[in-house]
Amino acid sequence: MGELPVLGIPNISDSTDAVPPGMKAKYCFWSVADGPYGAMMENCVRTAREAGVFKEFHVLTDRPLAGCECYDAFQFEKANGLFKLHYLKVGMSRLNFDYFVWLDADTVFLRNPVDVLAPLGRSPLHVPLEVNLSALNEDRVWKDSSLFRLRDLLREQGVMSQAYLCGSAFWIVHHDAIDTVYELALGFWRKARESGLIAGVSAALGYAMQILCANPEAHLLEAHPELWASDDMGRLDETFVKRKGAAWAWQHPLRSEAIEVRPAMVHLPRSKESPALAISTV
Amino acid sequence: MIETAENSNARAQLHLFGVPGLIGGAATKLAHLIRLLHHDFTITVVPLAAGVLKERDFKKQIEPFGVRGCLLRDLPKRLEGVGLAVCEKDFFTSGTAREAKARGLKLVWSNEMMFPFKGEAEAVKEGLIDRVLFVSEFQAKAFAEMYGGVPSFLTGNYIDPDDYAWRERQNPVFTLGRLSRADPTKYPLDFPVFYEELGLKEARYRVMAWTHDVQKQYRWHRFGPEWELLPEKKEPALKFLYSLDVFVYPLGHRIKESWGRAVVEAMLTGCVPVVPAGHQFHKLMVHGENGFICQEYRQWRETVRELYENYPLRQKISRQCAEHAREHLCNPEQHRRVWLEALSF
Repeated sequence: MGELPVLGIPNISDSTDAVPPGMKAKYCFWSVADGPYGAMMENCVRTAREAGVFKEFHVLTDRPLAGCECYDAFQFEKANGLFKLHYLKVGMSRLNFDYFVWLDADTVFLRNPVDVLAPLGRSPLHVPLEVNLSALNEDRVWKDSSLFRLRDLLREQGVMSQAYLCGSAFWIVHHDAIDTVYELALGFWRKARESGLIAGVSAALGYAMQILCANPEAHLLEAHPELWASDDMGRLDETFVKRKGAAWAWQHPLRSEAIEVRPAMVHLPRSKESPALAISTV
Repeated sequence: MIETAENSNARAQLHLFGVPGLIGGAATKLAHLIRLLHHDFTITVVPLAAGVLKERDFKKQIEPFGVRGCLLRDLPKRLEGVGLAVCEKDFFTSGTAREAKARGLKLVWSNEMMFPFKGEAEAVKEGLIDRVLFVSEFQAKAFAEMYGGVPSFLTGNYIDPDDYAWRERQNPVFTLGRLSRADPTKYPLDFPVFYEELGLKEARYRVMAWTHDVQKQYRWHRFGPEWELLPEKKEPALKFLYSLDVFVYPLGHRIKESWGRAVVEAMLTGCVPVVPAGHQFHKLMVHGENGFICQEYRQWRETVRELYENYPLRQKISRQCAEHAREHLCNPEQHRRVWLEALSF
């Protein structure tokens, strides 16, 4: 098991500028995966290697994982998902990469993504935005929260454009924006808690995203259909996943319309219950 | 009845606590108030620090108007008239407010911010403040509880229009930019992304009042050669505003209210303002006639692109915003009447 560099050792945070033009940005994938998630992470990395992805995977975990750079994860509270942000701040910020690409352990690679960082545009953070909350005509409850209340809180806290809902299974952050993202996200989470709203890491990250991106429409999931999607509706079966390159109809449970996507990376939340689904790609 | 030079043998005494100047909202406000009111009052400027009295810039703001500068300790034991302090952060903690009140001045205080200064709440409780001035209803509401029972008055902001003459402009490279206080919170956290994703084929971005602390917010961003990030006071405000075709002023989530002094200055010079919804901007302009108020990012982008491509529109709005600012926002006579009323007891 590796150790994260201790604070004070020169790392990228001592540099003063973003990547100069013409120089490729350095990035790694990262995740937190203990217990049963460890095997999922190993599977994720296996599919990545098979697809020709040779970037490093840095994983906070409780045991050595094949194909990963591993660090002690210790015990953490998983209930609201905020551990992703805590580990980003105390862990990833010490590593020498320009960008960090978070993947939930139950993700598989179907192809080698052409340009993982492209959806960032000029923004320091990319979280695929999935549902337009401003377009909702009636309130819905999502993960124990009223979406109208979430929308109102996003507005109150300064989201000026259409407000969007997102997940947290895949996101990209610039090294030098980690502190800002952490403060924005945690600040929003606290505001939500004060107002009696249950907000998890997705809402918190979504807020940070919408404060930092200027143009939310450039970060919609459908703006990058070749990169990543989450099979929240459980539409993909083992046969499909084995076929790898095929397009499919992505739909968020809160959206009425489906969108054709052909993502290189797929989040398979159902694979926790049906491990064969994820393993079928190997 | 308002007592003025026209209806009184002796002009009333007005003591201005602070330092008039041409940089910063409060300093500029004092400088322009001197020009507006020096015929109506015998004005004494009372800086809190002695060194200021010898500064050339300070003298330039007071001497042409027959105004004198003097420390409080050098003024007579018994004073008459009104003492006005504008956004002077040490006014209460330094004991100046208490001393001025004890010597007989009616104290008028204008905070200008959305937060109380140190010692301000205590001064209210102590009864030091005879009248509080607000720049907007929004600000008045924010302070309503603290100032309950203290007479208040809405004065807005006066900007001397003669300092910001209109000028036609058409830069060889379309130039957008902004000017504000050198305060990181005045900039939205996505500021460079905001400008760059407007999608203009060729543009220059000029920003004045850029500091290390502002820069630090955007360590993740590489500012290319299209950016010109100038420190505070690098150019006179007028020269800077003349260099811009459009004043694009996103504010971000940390600013609860901006009165928009910089926006009015830009308007006077003919620099077309594009500003966020909310704040006081709807009182400064009519969308599409003498400026643009945008809510969503796509509106900002459509607006700036239209101005980029359509020079006649830009020219028309430039004239209209300058005329509107001169006639309605910065009309000296209207402002003079408001201030005379605000300062009469």
